[in-house]
Amino acid sequence: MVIYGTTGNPFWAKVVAGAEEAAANLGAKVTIQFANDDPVQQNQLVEAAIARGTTGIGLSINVDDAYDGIVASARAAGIPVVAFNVDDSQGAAGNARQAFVGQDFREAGYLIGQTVASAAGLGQGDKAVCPVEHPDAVYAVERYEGVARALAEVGAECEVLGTGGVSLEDTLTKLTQYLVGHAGVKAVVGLGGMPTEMAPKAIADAGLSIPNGGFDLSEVIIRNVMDGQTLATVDQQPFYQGYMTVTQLYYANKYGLTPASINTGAALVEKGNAEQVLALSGTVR
Amino acid sequence: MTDTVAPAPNAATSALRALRRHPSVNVLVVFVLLQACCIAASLLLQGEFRYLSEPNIQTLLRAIPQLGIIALGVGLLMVAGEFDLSVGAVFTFSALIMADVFNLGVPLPLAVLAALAAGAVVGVLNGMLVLRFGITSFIATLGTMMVLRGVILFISNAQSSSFRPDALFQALLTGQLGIVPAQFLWLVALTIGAYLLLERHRFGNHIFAVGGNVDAANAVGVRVGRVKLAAFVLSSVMAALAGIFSTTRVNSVSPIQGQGLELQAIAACVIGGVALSGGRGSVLGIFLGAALIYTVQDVLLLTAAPGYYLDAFVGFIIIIAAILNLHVLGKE
Amino acid sequence: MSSPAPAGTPLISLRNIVKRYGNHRALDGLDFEIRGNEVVGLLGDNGAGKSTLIRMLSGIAPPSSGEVLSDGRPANLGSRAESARLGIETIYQDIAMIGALSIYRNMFLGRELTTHLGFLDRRQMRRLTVDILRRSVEIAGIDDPDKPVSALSGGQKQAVAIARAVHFHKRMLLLDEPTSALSVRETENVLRYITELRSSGVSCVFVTHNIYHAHQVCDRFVVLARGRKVLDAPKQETSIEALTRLIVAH
Repeated sequence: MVIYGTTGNPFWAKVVAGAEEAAANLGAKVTIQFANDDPVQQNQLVEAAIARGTTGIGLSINVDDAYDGIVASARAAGIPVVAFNVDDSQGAAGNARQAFVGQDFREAGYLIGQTVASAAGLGQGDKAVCPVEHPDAVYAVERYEGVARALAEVGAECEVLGTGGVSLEDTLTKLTQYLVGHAGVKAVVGLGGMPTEMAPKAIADAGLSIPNGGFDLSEVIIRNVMDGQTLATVDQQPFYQGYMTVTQLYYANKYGLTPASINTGAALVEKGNAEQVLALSGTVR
Repeated sequence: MTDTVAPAPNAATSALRALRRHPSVNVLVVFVLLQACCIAASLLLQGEFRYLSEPNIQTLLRAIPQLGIIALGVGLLMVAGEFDLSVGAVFTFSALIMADVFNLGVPLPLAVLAALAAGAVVGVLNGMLVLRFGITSFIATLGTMMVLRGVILFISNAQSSSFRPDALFQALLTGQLGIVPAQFLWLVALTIGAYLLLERHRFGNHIFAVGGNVDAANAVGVRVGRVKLAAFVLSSVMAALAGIFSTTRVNSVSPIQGQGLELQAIAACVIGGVALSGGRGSVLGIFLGAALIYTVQDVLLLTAAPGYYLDAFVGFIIIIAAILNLHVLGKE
Repeated sequence: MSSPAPAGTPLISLRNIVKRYGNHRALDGLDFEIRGNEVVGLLGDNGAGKSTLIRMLSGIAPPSSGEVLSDGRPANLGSRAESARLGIETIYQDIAMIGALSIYRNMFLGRELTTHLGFLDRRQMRRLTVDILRRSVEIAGIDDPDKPVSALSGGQKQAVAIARAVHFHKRMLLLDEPTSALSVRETENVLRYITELRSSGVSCVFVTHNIYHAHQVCDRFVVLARGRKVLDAPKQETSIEALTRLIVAH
């Protein structure tokens, strides 16, 4: 299993924890390697794995086209390949991988969009704002599409607000200023961790009382959900991304089953389940 | 020596001349004009442009200190002829130290001291790298910035830490005095302090000297190394202080925050008339530079402009400010 | 200063000085002295060793070998601080001042007058500055001690630098090409200050390419060529023509 990321990033630690737990349960051997955000290195790692005679490959397809060749040659050698966390933007049409295990950003956006829209009672012509650190990033674009689709179903609209990565306080300031200037906004859906964390405070500072929700699990976000200040947050369940990838590769070898795509990221954390999430925060969630 | 004897100084004209020479005159004019426009627009377009609404004034006054405090430290260092690109990382690093130490059960005052000490240590390190090894400050502090970012990810595990101090501390740093937020009052106090240091204290004279003309500073016996080291420490400690204020307001530290803060601080200083080459600048200018950046952001967000065009406007102001400042220098 | 040096002892004297840069001898067995109340004209073509000598007296380029005497006693020129202690101040072409600071803050740079906790005693510094400027060098156009130095003309800056040196009781001023960047009128003024300085007990070394300027104010001439002294004569024993011939000949 090759991880296109850097060691020490806790997000990947949860993926690894899932992969290792699956391997332990199944009695399989899993080797974790990091490509440190380098597509060339990732290609070399996969190539070396094929040469060693590995029986299954999991990788994240972070760059379209970069791994088309190597994945095709692994498949030609009869090795099952599953993508996790990030897929080719064209899905199966873009890459010969057999399945993708990860969050469907659009579906996840749709889920939180629906949840917030119904809580806010959004209707025809109502407006919501989607603050996000980097509006041009893939996660932002796709989650936004999902949110926008959910809102469009009830006739509501939403707008992206770029809040940058300067600081939580700066995020808070920008969101507050936006809310003061756009008096008609009826809901806030944070597309990333920083704005989701700051949403309840910004709403209060702007002198409003409107529902908010978003993405990611930080201690503050989970506590906000527990306190009822934030409606819900979506977890992409990285543990599952590792666990299901290894499990499917194992059974592809044992029984010849074809790996199936799994959307791991439609898990809503709401008031009811937030406490359990908090207990596992940092290790599994 | 002019060819004609100067006329007897008239108090009013000499005050006017002094004002025209002041390094912050451009930013002052722009700032006053912008405020006048905003207030007029707010009165004319009641309800459409809520500049004068209480939540907006509150938000603006709360927003300026984070950048303002950092810019004061960075600006004084720039007058001394050096840069500090590590302030964004120090901002986050110190706040993280404070939150983690406090969450371990250490008394709050000690946690705050630890944060300030962490800032001071980074400042000493920056100073040593520049003065001992002769690395230009741009490179040295770029290095410490990247190292610190790594350290931050390592100790935070890339998770944000919560910080919930007692109500008194919270009120002292981020409460309200009438309609004015406490952190703005702190910024005003720090600005006055920085002014006294730069314009009324021996140290300020030496800061101008080492930044304006190192040979001259050496020739009159100013201890250049010591002055620069002190300025590096000041810059880092101010960044740490900003981190403490910011974290107390939002009750949380995000390990990925602080990016771009160093460039914003330099931008505020340049807009405020601080020379990139050192030896020139004013505390009032730095303060107004930071205030101007946030006012422009505020106006853009209050009107329908999407938030991500913001940087373009700040860039625009920097270029205008740089041109105006060159023009002022040319006059002399 | 336990016992005063006998009258007529040079303020500073250099004996058999050699300054080597690698194999090159910038100064080669030079004897040079500055006496009380005199203006020495230091002349010579480019590369003769004038700048090296000025840098040496300023403490920036210590001698490789030779003897330094201050008031007849052995002394050192190992650093700028040591040179300053001997009462030497150098006024460079690009004057050692900070453009953004006011005249009075420049005047007391590094020697600030303070009240308590290191805060500047601005009133006293302003008052003294006005006083110093009025007394030591009468400068038309400088009326305001709060004016930044960057707003002064080249001659005015020279004047402030000279006034600063005089106020802090420097006994010897080294003026390295002080008039090269100045207008005719400013040059006249600087030459006048130099004469005034002598009468207030400050000696000067005046480095210039302009023999006419030198002849106007100097009491004694030293001509260097290739690191050696080729002439050391009082003004009355030489002439502009003789000096010119000598400089060109070498």
